[in-house]
Amino acid sequence: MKYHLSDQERETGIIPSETLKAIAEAVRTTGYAVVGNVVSKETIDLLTGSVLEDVERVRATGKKTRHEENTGEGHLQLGLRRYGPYVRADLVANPVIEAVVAAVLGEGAWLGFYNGNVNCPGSTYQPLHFDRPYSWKTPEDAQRDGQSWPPPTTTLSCSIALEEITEANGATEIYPRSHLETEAVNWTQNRVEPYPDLIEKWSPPARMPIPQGGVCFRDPRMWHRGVPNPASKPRAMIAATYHAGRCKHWRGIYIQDLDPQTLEQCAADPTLRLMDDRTLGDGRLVFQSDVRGVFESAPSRFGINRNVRFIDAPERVNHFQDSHELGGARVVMGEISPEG
Amino acid sequence: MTEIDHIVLLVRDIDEAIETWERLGFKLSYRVHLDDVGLAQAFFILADGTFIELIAPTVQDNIYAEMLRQKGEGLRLLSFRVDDLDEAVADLLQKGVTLRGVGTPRVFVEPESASGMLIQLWPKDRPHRWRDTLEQTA
Repeated sequence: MKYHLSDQERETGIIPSETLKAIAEAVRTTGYAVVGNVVSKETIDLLTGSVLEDVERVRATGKKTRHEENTGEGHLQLGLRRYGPYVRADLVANPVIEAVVAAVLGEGAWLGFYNGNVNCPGSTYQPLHFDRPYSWKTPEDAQRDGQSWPPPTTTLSCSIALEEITEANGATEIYPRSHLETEAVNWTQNRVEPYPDLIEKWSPPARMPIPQGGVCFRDPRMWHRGVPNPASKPRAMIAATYHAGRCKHWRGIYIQDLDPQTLEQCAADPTLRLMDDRTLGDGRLVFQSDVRGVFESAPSRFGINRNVRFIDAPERVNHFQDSHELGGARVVMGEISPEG
Repeated sequence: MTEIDHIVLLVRDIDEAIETWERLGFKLSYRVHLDDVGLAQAFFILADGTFIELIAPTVQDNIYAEMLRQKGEGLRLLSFRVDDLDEAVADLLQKGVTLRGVGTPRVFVEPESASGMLIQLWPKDRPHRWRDTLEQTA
């Protein structure tokens, strides 16, 4: 599904309810929907410049990033500058994005990941994979929670294009509708290669082109992978990931077996999330305090929790560090550097 | 990539299309409906062992429905036999051809690299699963 916002829709952040329903339905059935003209040209230009500068700094280290080691060379999970003027309301508090998030995940959804995603020239194929596990493993589990089968997603990935993304600069390869493959609910790994019969079933794959300033809303369980960028310059994108309110893990995993006391603690303090070691901790994303006003001046119309906290100098957020590993906790004292 | 393995025609209505091809003198070999993929398929085996495959989307939101909206009915995919899939892929990539599904069992040449036609590379020794079903039921 493709929809292009009018300038008025972008500026007011109001889109027709039928359109909103159609976008949410496309995410549910096809696995994704692309909406154009969501973010202003001014913001896109500013962020593109900063991301490309940061890519140069990362490449100048001469080392592969940890994400490249784990996935494919040339695919960077590059942090975004967490200070002014680079934190913009039409990225972190965009009413159209938040309307779609609420339509897919319900009220109380929260921002769990805000990062750059860059495909550099000379990149390789990533393994075919999906990003999130299924929150319900059997039709009975889903039914008990009032959910349909195949189960709905509890996470929504928003890929914001900082430039025109096409096959010519390595648009992501996707397998539409593969998130409906219920064979995958019990897989312990997120890699699809061990299941060639299912790859055949969901072929042919497609590409995920996104117009500059547009957003691809994607069910992260849909199979996908980064592919080589044949262009001469890096292709820059922003990845913002939201989780349903019922997900209490810091990476948005729905944990059904939380004890009542932990659930009560989470309800009393919405900053708490379950960490990987199953202790409760602060699961918020960290920004410099100079951008506090960006969030506060644009309260969510859709009950979305931006899930942020702010820090002051001399503490800084080192946005070069891999947020896949560190979540929002990337605070350092002093200089920020790709060397960590 | 010199031999055709099969050709795929995209149609709106599988029953109507089967009737059409039977009227033309072709004999239906097998048909199947894949509910979760949202696809109905019908196969007509030809004298030389190649076959014509008719496909009709049964949902509005899969890649075939999108293709139907964009291009209408007609010949939409050519599947060519290759001796060795990996070698064929390496050769095409080296020539700058854009592919989909590299490294998976189903590799396609992007229509932009093939005069608008989606091309599938089919390893010569790979069986077609639906033909196994035919043999079992024969």
